[in-house]
This record gives sequence, structure tokens and C-alpha cells, in this order.
Amino acid sequence: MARRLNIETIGVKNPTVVDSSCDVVLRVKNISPVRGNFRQLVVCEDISSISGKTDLLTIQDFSKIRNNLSKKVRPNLGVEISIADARRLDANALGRWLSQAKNVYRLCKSARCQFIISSGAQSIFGMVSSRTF
Amino acid sequence: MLSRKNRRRYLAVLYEPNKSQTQVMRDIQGRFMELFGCLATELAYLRVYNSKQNGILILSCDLEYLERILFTIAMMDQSMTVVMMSGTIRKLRERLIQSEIRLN
Repeated sequence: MARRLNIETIGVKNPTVVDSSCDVVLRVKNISPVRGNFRQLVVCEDISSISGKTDLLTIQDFSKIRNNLSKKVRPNLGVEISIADARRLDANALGRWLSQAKNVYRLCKSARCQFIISSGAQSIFGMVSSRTF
Repeated sequence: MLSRKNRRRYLAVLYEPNKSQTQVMRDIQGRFMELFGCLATELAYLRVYNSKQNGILILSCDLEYLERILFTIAMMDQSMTVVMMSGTIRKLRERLIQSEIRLN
């Protein structure tokens, strides 16, 4: 399915749930040597606990990071937002979500961070077509 | 004045097969209306077509509203995704059959 959507690499928490036809990157909280041959990304969901080893900051609630983000971001850090979070929102909240995502994008651009839009998919139906954004 | 036919795009939407095509279409239309309003919904001219594949809905829209439709589908509460897109329904159906053969 990932091939049909032109997805080359999938990020997962548990490598046993995906078939080997796709390139897999493990999303971990701490780097561990006992995770096989998979590449690893250190993911952090709490802005206050970002360390030098953190690769990705996942933003779930924009209101919590409004003031801290500009102080905490550093070049080469990935800042990730998830579309799965936005799916449940009504039109007003979705508009707000988009505007806040745009602000984060501007900040990432100025701080030379990578802005990542993730589908946050739990199944193949939750994936997002590449033409969408 | 020269009348020109509006260009359309045909989308293959993969959805969880526990819902009927009519229900899925109604949900997409409802979300589109919620996000972009009644006027855009009418002008997008959304239409649904039969598909032989289980869990695939063929949807067509005006080319001008394609990006809004893609956005709407990405923002649906019920998970669904666009797997293929084409300018003609015949081509889309052919490609759906081909990809089904290739993946099986």
C-alpha cells in the first residue's frame, strides 16, 4: 500500500507490525543498540525535555509550545505536526490549527529547522496523498 | 461568448469498507461544505461513480476545486485517502485494475 502512495520510508514505533517491502525508520524515545538493523529517530513530545540527541519534536498542542518553541529550536531539529490530530477538529478549530501550523513553518524556516507534516496514520486508510499539501 | 467545458479530475478514494459508498460521499460533501461553504460545494460539482474494487470510491470534481477536495479528504474524521487521480474515468479504471494486478 505504501508503494502505491509512493511512500519510500515508514516511521514506526514497533518494527514487527510492518512488512519488509518498505524501508523502516524506528521512532524511539532513547537510542538503544538492541533494536536490530533499523535506523532510529529520537522523538520527543515534550518541549521541555528536548536534548542534544533529539531528532524530532512532535507538536500535539500548539498552545503549550507558543512561547517556548522559538527558544528551544536549533538548526537540524525536525518539528513535526500530525494530520491525524486535525481530522477530529471542526471547521473553526481547523482554521486555527492551520494558522498555527503556518506560524510554526515560518519559525522553522527562519531557524533552519525541518518542518514535517506527518499523517499520523495508524492504518493504511489514515495515510495522506502526497498531492494534498 | 465561447462556452468551454470545465475540466474535471477523477479520484480513487480508499476508504474503510464498513461504510457504504453513499454514506462516504455524503460525509465528504458535508465536510467540504463545513470547510468551504455551500457555494464552493455546488461549484465543485462533486459526483460519485461505481467502482469494481471493494473499498474504493471514484469521485469526480471540477479541476479548479481539486486542491480543496484533496484537503477535505485528508481532513475527514473517518480515515480515507486518495490513491489515484486521472483526467478521465476510463484511464482511472484501467490504472486501478492494473495496480490491483501488480500488487496481488
